[in-house]
Amino acid sequence: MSGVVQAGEIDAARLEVLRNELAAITEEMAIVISRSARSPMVRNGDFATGLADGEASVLGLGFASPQQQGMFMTLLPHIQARLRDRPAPGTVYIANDPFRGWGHMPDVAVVVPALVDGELLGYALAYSHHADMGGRIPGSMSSKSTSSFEEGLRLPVVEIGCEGRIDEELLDLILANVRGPEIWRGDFEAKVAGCRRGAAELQRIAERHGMDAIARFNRQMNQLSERSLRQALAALPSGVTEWTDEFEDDGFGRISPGLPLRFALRIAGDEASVDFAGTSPQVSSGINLPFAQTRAAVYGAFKLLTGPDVLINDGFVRPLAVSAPEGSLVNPRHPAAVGGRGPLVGRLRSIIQRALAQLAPNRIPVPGETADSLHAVGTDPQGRPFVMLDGFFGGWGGRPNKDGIDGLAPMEFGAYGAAPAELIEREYPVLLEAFDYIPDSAGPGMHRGSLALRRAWRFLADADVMIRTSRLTPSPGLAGGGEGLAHGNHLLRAVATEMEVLPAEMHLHLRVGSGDLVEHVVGGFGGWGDPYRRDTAAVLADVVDGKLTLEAAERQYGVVIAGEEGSYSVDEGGTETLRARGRQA
Amino acid sequence: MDGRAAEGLRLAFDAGGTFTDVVFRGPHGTIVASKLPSIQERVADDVREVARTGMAGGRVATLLHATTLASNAVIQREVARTALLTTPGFRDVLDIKGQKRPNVYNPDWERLPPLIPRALAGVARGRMRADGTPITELSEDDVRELVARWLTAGVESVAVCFLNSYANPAHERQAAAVIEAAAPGLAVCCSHDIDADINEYERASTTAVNASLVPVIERYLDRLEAGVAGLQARLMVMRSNGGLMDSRTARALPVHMIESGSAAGALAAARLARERGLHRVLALDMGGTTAKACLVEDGTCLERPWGEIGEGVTVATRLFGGGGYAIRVPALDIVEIGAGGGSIGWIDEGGALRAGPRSAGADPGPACYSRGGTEPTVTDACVVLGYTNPVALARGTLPIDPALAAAAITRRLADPLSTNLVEAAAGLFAVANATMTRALRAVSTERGYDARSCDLIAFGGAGPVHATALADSLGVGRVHVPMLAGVFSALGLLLAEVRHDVVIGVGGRLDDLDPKRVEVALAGAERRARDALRESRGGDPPGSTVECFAAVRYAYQIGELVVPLERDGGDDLLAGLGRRFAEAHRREFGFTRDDAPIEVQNIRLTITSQGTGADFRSVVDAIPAPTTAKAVSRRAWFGSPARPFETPVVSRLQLAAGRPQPGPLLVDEDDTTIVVPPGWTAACDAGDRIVVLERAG
Repeated sequence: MSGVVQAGEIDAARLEVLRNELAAITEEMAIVISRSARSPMVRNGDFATGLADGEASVLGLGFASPQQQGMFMTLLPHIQARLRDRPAPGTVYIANDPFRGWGHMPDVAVVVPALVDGELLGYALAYSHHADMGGRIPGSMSSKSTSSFEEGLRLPVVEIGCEGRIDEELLDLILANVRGPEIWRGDFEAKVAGCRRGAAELQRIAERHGMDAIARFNRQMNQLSERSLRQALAALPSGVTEWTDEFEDDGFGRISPGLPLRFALRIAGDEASVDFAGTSPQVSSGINLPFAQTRAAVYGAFKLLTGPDVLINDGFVRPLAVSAPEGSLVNPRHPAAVGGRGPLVGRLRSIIQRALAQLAPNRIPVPGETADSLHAVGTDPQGRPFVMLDGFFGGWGGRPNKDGIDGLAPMEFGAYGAAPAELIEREYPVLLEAFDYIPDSAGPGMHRGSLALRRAWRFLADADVMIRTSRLTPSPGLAGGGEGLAHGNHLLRAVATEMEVLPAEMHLHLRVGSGDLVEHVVGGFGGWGDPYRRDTAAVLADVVDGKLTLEAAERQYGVVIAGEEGSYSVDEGGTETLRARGRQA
Repeated sequence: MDGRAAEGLRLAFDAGGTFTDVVFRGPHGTIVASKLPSIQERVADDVREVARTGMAGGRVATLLHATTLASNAVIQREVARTALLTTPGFRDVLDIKGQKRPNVYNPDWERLPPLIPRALAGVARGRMRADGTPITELSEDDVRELVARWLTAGVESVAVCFLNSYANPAHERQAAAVIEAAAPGLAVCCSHDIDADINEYERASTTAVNASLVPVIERYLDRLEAGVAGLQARLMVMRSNGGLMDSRTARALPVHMIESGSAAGALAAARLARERGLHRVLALDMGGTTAKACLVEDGTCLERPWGEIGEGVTVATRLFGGGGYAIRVPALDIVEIGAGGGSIGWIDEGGALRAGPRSAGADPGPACYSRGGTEPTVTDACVVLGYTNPVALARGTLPIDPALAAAAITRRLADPLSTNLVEAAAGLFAVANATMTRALRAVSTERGYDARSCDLIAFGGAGPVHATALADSLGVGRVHVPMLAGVFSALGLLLAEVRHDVVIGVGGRLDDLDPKRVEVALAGAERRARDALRESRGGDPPGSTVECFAAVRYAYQIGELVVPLERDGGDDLLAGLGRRFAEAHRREFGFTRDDAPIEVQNIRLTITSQGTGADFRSVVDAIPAPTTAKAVSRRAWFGSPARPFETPVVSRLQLAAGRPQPGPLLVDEDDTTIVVPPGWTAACDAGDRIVVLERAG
């Protein structure tokens, strides 16, 4: 592409300088938030920061995944609409409304406008997942809620601070409605501190580079993103891909057939549209997906078509239309419950990615999907109540150019992590007895998917437990790759000798007693490409590492391993024969 | 004379990837500096030779050594074959790394393979609770069975890390005894000895890094000490916290050598800041491939409780980790990024001009080195802009061809961007500075220090070239450039003191702590620290300072802030701690929570010897006069858009002899150039010969 500088454009060096400085601001905001916040969710990375220009157009860079940027994008018009006049300096907004451009309610956004001499320069934004938002069920994110009114306190865009002061009355009102108000407050204040830092730094950018620098930068980045996506779309075959899938859990348990998930993916020249007509109507459980997140999931999937440096912003989505019937599972009307939408957002992203893979097979990896978690509520042996939310991840599926990654949050999720066992054991009446890989469980492929993991909790007190499982069916591969081991849940009662298999439900509730062991398997994700084309040295390496048994090396990859532990080698002849026989079969 | 005389002479050698800098003060008081190629097998011979010729009969009593050997061994994974012994269910702790990753979004990311392969990670039954009570006993049979397998597999070293061993190390001790009995030749490192803090991944990883380095460092130090045995000098090694340790400690705790190479430079800057009475200083050390930044407050480098090694450092790595191998030992808070004179300029698919992270390295190096490099580097941009001496670099040993620099920039940058040579060079210079600004911000504004309130100390071959431009973008008004900027790190080593840290785990509410018990614990820690200091030095130092710090947080917060703990108060020991924590919290995060309970994670006692090192001024006095610059002026480009100025070229001595001079001005040195743009003035202190640049207005 041409690098000629157009009139009014910022030159190539200044563009890069601004990109660095603006990205650094979002990272500084993230550092302030993560280090000063008080909940395990923030500690584990369930938050993001972003910036927008004075027109409420997101800058798209910094400490947020494309999907999280998409959420900021859908929220910003509601913030802008809330500004009756120019905001006063030091204004702080708070929002969590699933029906006003946001996702589920425990994710609470804070927005601070940046002003110079009364002129609106831009916005600093942050969200984090709070441990609770009130409502019927601790954690406020159960699939068992049947209406938004059960899910806690809904905050449309609300001004909660002005002139540098927080409205303590309003904050008290919120804190009176949530479980764990102290920690809630700590997280909220961390976000306010982070956003204030961001707004102050935006002002310094304006001082250094001029009042219009941010707007000009963003205009140019929007053009760039739009051009990049258009180029990528133009390279795809034009036409319509009709996708039909089903979602195997209606929020109350496994159903067959599942809820229909349908969309038409249309590529026309350098534009695309995704229309969810035909997808299930909204349901009476809490798994409905707010439309903001439906859009964000689509944006995130299409991001894979462009280079890694292309930013998600208003320009990026200009050639990309997303529509869904109002009242559907992916565009629900108030008062639909949405707290348990986690598995669906991952699945939606996953199937769009799989549809795109049919059009661009060498660009699209096998998706990893969402987070699994265990919630436990009870009273510890010292008589103190506890609420534990333990979130963790599976891994990445196989990629067109390389293997997936074991035991890592999906790429669209951001820099999450899992809590250390020692921290959990210090804080809660639980022994974490395992967090390790299961051999032979990765989706086989030329580039294999991730291994399944098991996480096991031995309870030292009675507790009400909810286990969230993101899929009940195995993750399929792409381009000839195989599926991974399925997710699952097991229970070993203190008095029992054998592990029992728990019912397949995405949101499984059970009561455990002291001494009981719960084991959760996060499934393996699918492989990419024909497993028989996998490099035999890579198969051998997995055998040496105990990630693959000899038997599975033959069955999954057609690779014969000779020798014993400590001296394994590939039996080239045997492998050739086995692979030839397998190909004929 | 002071204690220095009894010490005998000190010789410092700072072994980097490319060069080993040797600096010492000869018997006639003159500082001698030399740059030798770094060849591991020859370091001892070279040092001996330098000492023999330079000392002219004087005796070297102490050899001070900084080296990048430990960090390079980990980065290149050329470490000993090491096994991990851990608790059932946690075999994959080193690979899963807490499920962290250093980026929010990068579909092409690859995780570093664990330092200890899964095949060599084994588990032994036995379990402790979080409060340290055993649930099941350790299975010694499990340990013996694993040891037998590891011996067959050629394992040299074992890292032992059991769950909750920070609360009760009994099982680790027991396992170590079993291993030592079964295989006396194996090195064994227990996690509670290396890093006795909560969170299994960080502790296991720190222990794994240490265990995998023990045999490597043992072999290296054995050979080194044998090679210099004739000097009968005591060998001291720079550790990550900016203090020295004796070579025996280094053999046991090589994980403390990871920042050995970087710490010396930061330390030099800190000493300079202290002697000049500078309140807050950003230290910038920029060489050919990396730039390192550190913040110095009141003469002391800021420290950090943990870090990572193994992958390029990014800001997000500082946030969550996952990019490399976690290391949790006290270290100077040095941020290193892949931006240096060798960083290559390129144009990305969006048409933006980028600098690095790819580097032309030392070979072929920048295009202007005439060694076959064709890609434009930051050094080439500096030559085109007239900043860098266009004839030769590195004490005249490295001839420069400006035409090659111009050709590379024209072909790769200016032509594709449809701009001219100078604009493209100025663009590359600006973009490289933006990258380095990230490192400087990471140690200042990100930690709540306003960069505008800082001075900048710039050194390394490229630091003085970029310093004023970086100062402009950070709002810094004053820049200091020391003598011998190219070997400044080795000078820092010459000034270093012995330091020992003793960490006392606390893990409780501030309100619940009994000041008397804390004081008793501190007294015990001080005794141990003094013993260690005496042993390291082979006698009592002329003096020593003891400082205490507490790692403090609000209950349930993620990260602690390290706050000084004043001991003179007796009963008031803890009284001021809450107040100082609140102050620090307000500075870093902008708010405090007066009603929230405060927790103390640990207390650290640090002892530092005094009077063993020279002071900076006396060292600088002894530096021989540099060669005078030959050129009188050259054309250099400043401003945006860049305009040409016929710019005077002076030497440091010329500057010292006269009044402050306004920019544009270039101060050519043997191994760098100090760039003074229009709007800045330069002066040289006749005493310590530091060049001070100030922005006008």
